[in-house]
Amino acid sequence: METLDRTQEPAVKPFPDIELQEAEHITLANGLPLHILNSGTQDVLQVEFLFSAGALKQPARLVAAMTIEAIGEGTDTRTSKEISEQLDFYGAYMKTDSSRDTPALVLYTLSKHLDKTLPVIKDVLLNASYPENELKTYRENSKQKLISGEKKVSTLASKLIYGMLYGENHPFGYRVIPEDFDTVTREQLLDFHRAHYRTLDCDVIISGRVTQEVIETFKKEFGSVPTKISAFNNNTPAPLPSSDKKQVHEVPNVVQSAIKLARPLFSKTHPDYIPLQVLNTVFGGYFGSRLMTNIREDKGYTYGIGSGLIPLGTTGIWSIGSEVGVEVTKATLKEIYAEMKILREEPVSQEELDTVKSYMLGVFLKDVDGPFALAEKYISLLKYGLDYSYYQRWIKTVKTITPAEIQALANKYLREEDFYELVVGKLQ
Amino acid sequence: MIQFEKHTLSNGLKVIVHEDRSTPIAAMNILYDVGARDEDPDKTGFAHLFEHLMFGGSVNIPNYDEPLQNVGGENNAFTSNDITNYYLTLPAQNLETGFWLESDRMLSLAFSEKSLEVQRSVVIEEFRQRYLNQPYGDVWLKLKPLAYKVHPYLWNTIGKEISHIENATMDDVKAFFKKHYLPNNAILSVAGNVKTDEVLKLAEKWFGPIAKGEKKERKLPVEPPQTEERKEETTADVPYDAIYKAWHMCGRRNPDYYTFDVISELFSRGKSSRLYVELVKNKKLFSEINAYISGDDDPGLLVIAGKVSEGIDMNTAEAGIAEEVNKLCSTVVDANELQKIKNNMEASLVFSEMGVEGKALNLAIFELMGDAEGVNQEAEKYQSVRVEKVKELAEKTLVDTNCSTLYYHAKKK
Repeated sequence: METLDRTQEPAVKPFPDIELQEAEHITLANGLPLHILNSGTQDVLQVEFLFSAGALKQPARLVAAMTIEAIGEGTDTRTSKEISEQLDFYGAYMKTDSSRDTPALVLYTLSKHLDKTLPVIKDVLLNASYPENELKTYRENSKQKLISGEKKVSTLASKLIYGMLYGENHPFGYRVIPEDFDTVTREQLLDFHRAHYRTLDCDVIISGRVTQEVIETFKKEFGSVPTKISAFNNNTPAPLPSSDKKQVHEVPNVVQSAIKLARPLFSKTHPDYIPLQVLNTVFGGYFGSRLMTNIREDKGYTYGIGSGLIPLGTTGIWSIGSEVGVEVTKATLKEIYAEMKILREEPVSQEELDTVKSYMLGVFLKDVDGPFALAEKYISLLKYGLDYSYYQRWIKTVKTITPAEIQALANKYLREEDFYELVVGKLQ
Repeated sequence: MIQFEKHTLSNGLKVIVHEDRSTPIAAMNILYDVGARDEDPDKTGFAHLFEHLMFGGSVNIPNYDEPLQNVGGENNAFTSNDITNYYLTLPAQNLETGFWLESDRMLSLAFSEKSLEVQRSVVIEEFRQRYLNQPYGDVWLKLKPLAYKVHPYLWNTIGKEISHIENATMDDVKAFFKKHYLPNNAILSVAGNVKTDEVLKLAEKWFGPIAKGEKKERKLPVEPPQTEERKEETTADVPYDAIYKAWHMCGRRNPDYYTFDVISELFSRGKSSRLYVELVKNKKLFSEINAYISGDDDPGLLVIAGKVSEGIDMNTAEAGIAEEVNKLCSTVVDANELQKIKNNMEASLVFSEMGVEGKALNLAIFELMGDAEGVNQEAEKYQSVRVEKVKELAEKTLVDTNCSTLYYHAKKK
């Protein structure tokens, strides 16, 4: 019997060609665009109504987020309890996403119950009535959640960093305060809803087992509703960053500080965005990244540290975050800057870069597995006005980028002086 | 419905394979039948610390993550009261790399001092991040020892206290490995774009030569029935009061488990659930409230946890919970309401089987409970829950003498 050499890694097979299933498109008679990803083995559906009615379009602070978050609180003919009951009975689930650039309403349902669950969603989208008694509870509970949430240093840091980068009065920079929940009026919600939701000014992304019957249900429910669909537009006003680039937000009695470092960036449409994703992965984007290897796996300062590119409207940020022991907060900051410097001064080895490439391609393969994953991939194109050629460029860039290009990018974008630094907790 | 094949190697390792041609990837899951309940009361948190050390290199492979990332793979692990579970996904054609990595660390670890030293501090930071440095983070550190007096569920997977992690030695690590990380104490499941006979061949090739060990029978202290109501008060720097109530219930393998799960769902599944409608919306006693079951293998807990609304006192809020509990104990649930829960359960099961990662995990977990086929019988078991049984179990279980309550007070400004 041949002996097994366990030091010898099994032969690595070449990476499979990635075949990305693309969305099919149907436009209903009233102009409502449906994007369809029919795939998967389960009798399920995810239906996402994606709007551009975010903070960029709101007349006053919080109006956009509150309009979508409280959309299920009642309609002209259904109470909030009835809305929930009629969805819950069929095992369906409605989720709202109140992100500042692209809010969304999402329905998860078994395909066989769509004819029962979709009419409820239609009612919510067209006839939300924001009853004052329900709003009162919503306001109180939201305030409590906000105040509780900000007791966590990392949550507070994530909010404050946007203020530093965009400015306190920018739609992406202002920090929601508890009083905002009282200030927004029912009329503001109704007006905003009327302007953006009742007109179905959205894209509908349907994924899962999308049969002809499913399409017919959509035609029946939505095909003759009057719409006013505008071209997707998320033009973002220029940020007004803080002049104070290093801030400490003291919190007494904590054992860990939250660290946030971030710099202004661009959105996915910029030609450097994809190559920067590769640099980001090397730097702090996966378990084997420079930041994790040094700050967690060598020093043991933290449970986790990571970095990521976050597109927001037509802008974006590059952000690094971690929670670390108070006593090593300063040391961690020093190490983060040191890792930036190394990437600027020394090219990554071909070996390390190859690992990152394989890792990124492998994650991509997993990210396009299953109908909901395919929908996510399509939605992240729609949000930034991109098409599927973006992913071809992505794959090509990841496969071909060189250590020299990575180093050049680091020298352009990974400069200490471009980053804003925030510590929430203690800086001893 | 998950179709699969099952095979046991001569060293006792169970292997389960599920073929799914709709995906280009494969998921590999290795479940070790060891969790926090198997720890020495003076060395708690060890199963979890050990999970971290499993990534510190094995006897023939100095680095676990890098070769996996090189073939486009990703991995992670978790530890619970009952099990330690490792899982990875990779492009299906490179599945053998997963076998190579997982079999080597089952064979033996590198036992590096540096890795132990670093992971001790990483886990201490995890302890601080999850349990100490966020509002209400220490609830379970207080509630579990209140509810359990002798069974090891009285401590959390992270450990009773930081010193237990600080004091872990290399000898402890080696002894733990020798005792628990055996082929006959593990279940390997593979799901994805694979062929069953090829997976079985790979299993034989890489895991077959690993020697079987002595599997000791688990003899855990049995938690005696609770006979008196237990209450504890605590005060912390949080903005609002909160209440946590825990009742003892059966273990995961008991047929009553499904009825208990339905009870927790009746309480708090969705915005039409009893606690949400009555206590959040109508009476405005809580800003949020949830009910859930712990789902442990040994007898577990049914928990109601609520954040009290500003201006409401703790007693009024608690009376609100008591009223809802009494309703469930005294009035038979409407058939329509039960049907809603069953429909929810059906949908949850269908959604949970969407990815190969979830399917591989479910197969391993059900095999540990007795038979992987159980994964395909869950829907039926929920459908067979009856309204009379809901009332009967609620009446028997949801009584004060079986309850531990933690009153979590916000520090007065």
